[in-house]
Amino acid sequence: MALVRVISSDGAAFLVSQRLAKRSGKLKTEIETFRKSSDNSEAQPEIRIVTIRAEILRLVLQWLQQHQNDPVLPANQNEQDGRGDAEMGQSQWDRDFLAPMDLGIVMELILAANHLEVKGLLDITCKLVESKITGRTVDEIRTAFKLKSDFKGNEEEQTRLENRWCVEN
Amino acid sequence: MEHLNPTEISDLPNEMLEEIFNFLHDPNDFLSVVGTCNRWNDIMAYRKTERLFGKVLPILLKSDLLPLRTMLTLRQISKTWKKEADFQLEEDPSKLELKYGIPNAEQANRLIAHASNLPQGGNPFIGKCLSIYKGDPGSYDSIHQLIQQYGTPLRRITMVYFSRIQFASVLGGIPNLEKLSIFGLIDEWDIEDEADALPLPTLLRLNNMGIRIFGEGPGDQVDDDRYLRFHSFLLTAYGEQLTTLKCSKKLLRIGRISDLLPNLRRLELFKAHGLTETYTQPDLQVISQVEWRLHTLSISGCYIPLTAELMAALNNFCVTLEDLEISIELEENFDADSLVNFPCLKKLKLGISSELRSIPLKMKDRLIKLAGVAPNLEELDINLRNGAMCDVVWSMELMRNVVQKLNVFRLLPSL
Repeated sequence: MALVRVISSDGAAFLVSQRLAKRSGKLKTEIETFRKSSDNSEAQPEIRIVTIRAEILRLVLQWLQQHQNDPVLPANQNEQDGRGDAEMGQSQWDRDFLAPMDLGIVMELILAANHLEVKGLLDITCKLVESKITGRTVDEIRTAFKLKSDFKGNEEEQTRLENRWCVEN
Repeated sequence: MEHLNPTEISDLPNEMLEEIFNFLHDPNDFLSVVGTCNRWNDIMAYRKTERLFGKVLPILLKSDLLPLRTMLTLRQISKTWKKEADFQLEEDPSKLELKYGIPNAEQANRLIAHASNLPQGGNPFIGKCLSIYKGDPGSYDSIHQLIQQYGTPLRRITMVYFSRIQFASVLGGIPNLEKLSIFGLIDEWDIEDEADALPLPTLLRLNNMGIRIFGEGPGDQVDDDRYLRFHSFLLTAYGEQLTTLKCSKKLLRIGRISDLLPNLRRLELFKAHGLTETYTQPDLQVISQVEWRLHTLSISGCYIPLTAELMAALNNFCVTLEDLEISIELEENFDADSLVNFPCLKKLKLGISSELRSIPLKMKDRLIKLAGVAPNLEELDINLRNGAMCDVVWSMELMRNVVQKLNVFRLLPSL
């Protein structure tokens, strides 16, 4: 089985099958580039992902493994009617996978899935963050994302007043 | 106490590291910090939701997930979230359904009242955009007052039906203007001799202009020369700084148009209102001779026969063109060899119309050859009209022949 070494920003190496890695659009391109530039067709590619740390890379690979037999969804590919595959149901496994995660980690996963071009993972993570934002109040969002207001003086009131025109018109 | 004499950054206590990392405002720098080692990640983990938001929000918006009301709520969460939400709202106000339209005096006065209620430093125009209509005759004074008092933060403005004096005066109140859209007739056009005296203000940031004229239909008796005189004057004043121009093909008739816009990178030609417009040989000749290094060319509103003239016009931008939108009419005897290589072309949106009920074999060969002129294509949209062109086998062949880099392919068959 052909393997590839994927190395995280903090130096952890993951040895995975090329078949699995190629389900990421980015890794697929990297593996092909490596193969074109290498004289030895048997050589094992090594890919450094400088923007993703080990904990996150492990989660992405774990998700890929679970979904390795799903049909491949090309990055950015839309259906003919312009709708993405967001309608496709989320599996129980995905829900359990995301459930214990802090939203900070989910945001890191969004960036990782976007960078590695893993469409299915990107969809479910975006949907999760979106569900914590859309239709929620300011306080609910701050609680969910563990954020504190850092507005000073009347800045918060000012923002509320600025918004008013758009809400009323 | 070795901590008093640290020699390496890893010797610093957590609190000090945290202080240092908080100076890095770019989300990419933040990502590098948490990506360095577990200790640094643990120190900064509590700020991820705040600091990574600037990178996450554009990804969320790519799939059109957030309605305007939500964007407004995001502005109220924290300073960073407000900054990032505002950045996106200013990037593309219309996509996020942000509208500041002032159709009449009443609305202008309401916006003035709204602006005057804001605390010092408040921005009355979220998204920094505004559309103003001359509307009823009394409205100009209110609009003028609004702009003079509050126009400084504005970046984009759409102006509909203004006289040239009003036009210049309004522009004078928007020193930071980047994008100017003119809709409709700039009326009260009574200058024969005064055109050159039009006092247009200096707008250092202006780089994007859209010009659309209403009433260009054949029955409207619009005096084209007067328009062109005005628009030519506008382009003489601002042309050198423009990188984007959106207009109808009529503007191409302005003399020395190539010289007036030396830095143009993006040209969008749309169909003038009320005209069934085709691109004639002289039009295509102008396009094939301008000296613009266009990255983006969009010609919409009509199907242009795929003649040697059209190919010569496209070939003029072959070195720089990255994004092309065009609709062509296929005739059986076109010659694909006239088209040269487009090494930078990444995005192609192609409308195809044809009277042919099915594609003859030798024409398919030529079409596939045509696909080969853009070896680095990443996104291809094909929209078919008329005839039995939705030949699936052909489209698959086309896709296979447009190299592997292609990662988006959409085919809309004719109905």
